[in-house]
Amino acid sequence: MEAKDPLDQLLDGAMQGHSITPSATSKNEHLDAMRNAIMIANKKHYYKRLGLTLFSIAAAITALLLFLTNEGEFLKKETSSSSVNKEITIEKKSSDLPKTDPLKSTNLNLSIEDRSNSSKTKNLNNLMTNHPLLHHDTPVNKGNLSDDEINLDDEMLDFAQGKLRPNDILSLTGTDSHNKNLASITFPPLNLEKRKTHLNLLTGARKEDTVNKVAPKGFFHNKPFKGLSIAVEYSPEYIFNGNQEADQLIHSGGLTFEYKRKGYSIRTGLSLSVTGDIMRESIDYKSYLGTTKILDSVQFEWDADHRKLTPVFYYTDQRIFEDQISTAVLKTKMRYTYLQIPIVLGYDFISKKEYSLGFRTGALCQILLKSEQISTDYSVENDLIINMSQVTPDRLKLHWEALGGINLGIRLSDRFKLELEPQVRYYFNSVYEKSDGIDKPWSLSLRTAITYKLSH
Amino acid sequence: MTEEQDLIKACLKGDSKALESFYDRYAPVLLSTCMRYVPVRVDAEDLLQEALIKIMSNLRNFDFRGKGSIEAWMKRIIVNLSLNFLRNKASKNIFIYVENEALLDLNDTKETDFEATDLSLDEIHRLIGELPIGYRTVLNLYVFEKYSHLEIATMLGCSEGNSKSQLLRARALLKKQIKELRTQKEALPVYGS
Repeated sequence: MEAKDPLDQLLDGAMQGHSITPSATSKNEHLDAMRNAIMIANKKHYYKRLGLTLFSIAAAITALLLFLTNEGEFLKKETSSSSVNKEITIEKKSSDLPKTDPLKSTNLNLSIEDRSNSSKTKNLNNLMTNHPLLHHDTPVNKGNLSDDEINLDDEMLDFAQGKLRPNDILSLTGTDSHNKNLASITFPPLNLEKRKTHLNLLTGARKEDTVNKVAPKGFFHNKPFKGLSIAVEYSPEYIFNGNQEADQLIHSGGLTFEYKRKGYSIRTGLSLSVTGDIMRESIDYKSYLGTTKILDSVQFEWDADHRKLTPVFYYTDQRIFEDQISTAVLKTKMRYTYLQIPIVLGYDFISKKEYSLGFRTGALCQILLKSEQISTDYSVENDLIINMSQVTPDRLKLHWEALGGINLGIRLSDRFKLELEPQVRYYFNSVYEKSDGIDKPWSLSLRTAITYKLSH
Repeated sequence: MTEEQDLIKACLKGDSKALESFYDRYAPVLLSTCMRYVPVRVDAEDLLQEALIKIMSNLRNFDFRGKGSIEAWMKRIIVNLSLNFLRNKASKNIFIYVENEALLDLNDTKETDFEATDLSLDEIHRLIGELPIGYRTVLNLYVFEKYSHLEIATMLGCSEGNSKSQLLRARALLKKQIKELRTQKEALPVYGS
């Protein structure tokens, strides 16, 4: 390590905390730049958060829909779809076996693939390999069963001889009494989509499960749409604590989607909201007094007839303004259009055939889409404008609201429902970029919607 | 939560008063740091503005690690901007040797009679600013920013030996200037004593 030079120590020690105050002009410029930078950074942050939130919500809704529309039966579905490897196990319990029960089918052509000399196994193997529904190379594995322990009852023979319906057989289960090993026959894929029947080889008991019901016709009857409804809505909203010059009444309308299950619901969608405001601008101007002609130049032309010079005067129109600067406040009527994206969760605590009643709560994101100038009360056509400064701040491009309300649903028919939802909304930030003196507003609104249920 | 953290939080909300308070608190220190590298005030103020924009844009991502961490972070930003500015301005090589460097006593490193009270901070600041660009940069990075010669060499794209040599020359020249300034001061008549 290099020894510290005394000069270095002097400099380092002396210059700690040294400061130079920026000039007043620079300070104003720097502060403006800082404000803009923080505003841009905040906007970026909000948009990033919005994007992530929307993405997460979309992903969550998709996952929820997928899960709920399959009724949480992924595993069962997987089992039924695993028909690629159906297994038949032959149950044998020596004490239960009717020892004298013969193999009933003796008139089949045998194709012996099993290494065992058991005629029963060979028969079984042959029965299976000759079954019209099965591949012909289906192996038979009898496990540790002895020849005498193989027992096939009528059902099994029915199956083997192709008397059962194509979708009847799925599994035959059991264990062998001696070694508890399974004797099994593994089948290649079968078309087993409708029903499955479990046959017990010992008792001949037959248990039938319904795997899939026949889906009713129509696109919206598919499972993904179960519990899903679409609504056209309109909400008048009255805002408090906002800028008193702005329109207190906001109109919004749009399309929402709701997924409902067991009284719980989640709603999202898109709607447009239109509101008005007065934009005030302070104007320093010089009043227009009139127009006068200023002589630009004079040109003399020789008049040969009268033998004299005739002057031709060239003028320019010049507008005359008052010397004193006046100040006026320009009021411009503006119209703002927002895109609203609600995420609303709910629960119906009363759900009857005629009506339902529940609460709703959630968040609403508003994105400013368009701002239009409707009219202005001051003509700047003639006056000379010296300076203009905006008094009313610009509106935020994005803001969030929390909402809560009571939802009353009145059933109009099997599929149609009228919804009335009085809501209270609280704005997390002011609608203006510079919120000095303007509180975070809150509002009352009434959501009215006609809902159409996509599936029964 | 510390005072600095509160101030940062208020700035992130866009609070005008907080921004002004933030500016009053840190801008003079940043300007002083900047002017050690770029002594022309107009350029330094432009760089300060650039730095403040960068600071505000990234303030949300700043990881507060105790008192003074934000000042250190901001100083790094303004030092980097100043170096970029010097690189662009010098276009080729910022290392220039003074014409009369042969007159410098490069071995005069053992002198220990410097006292902080001798000279005002502004005078020291001015003397650093008057150093040639290469000397000044290396001296600032080594003495105030506490970078090693290897780090300085990497930052400035020169050899480690070059950095050491620039520092040695910077010290010698600065000492010479300090001596001259003292002599001038001593020569001035003292009134009112």
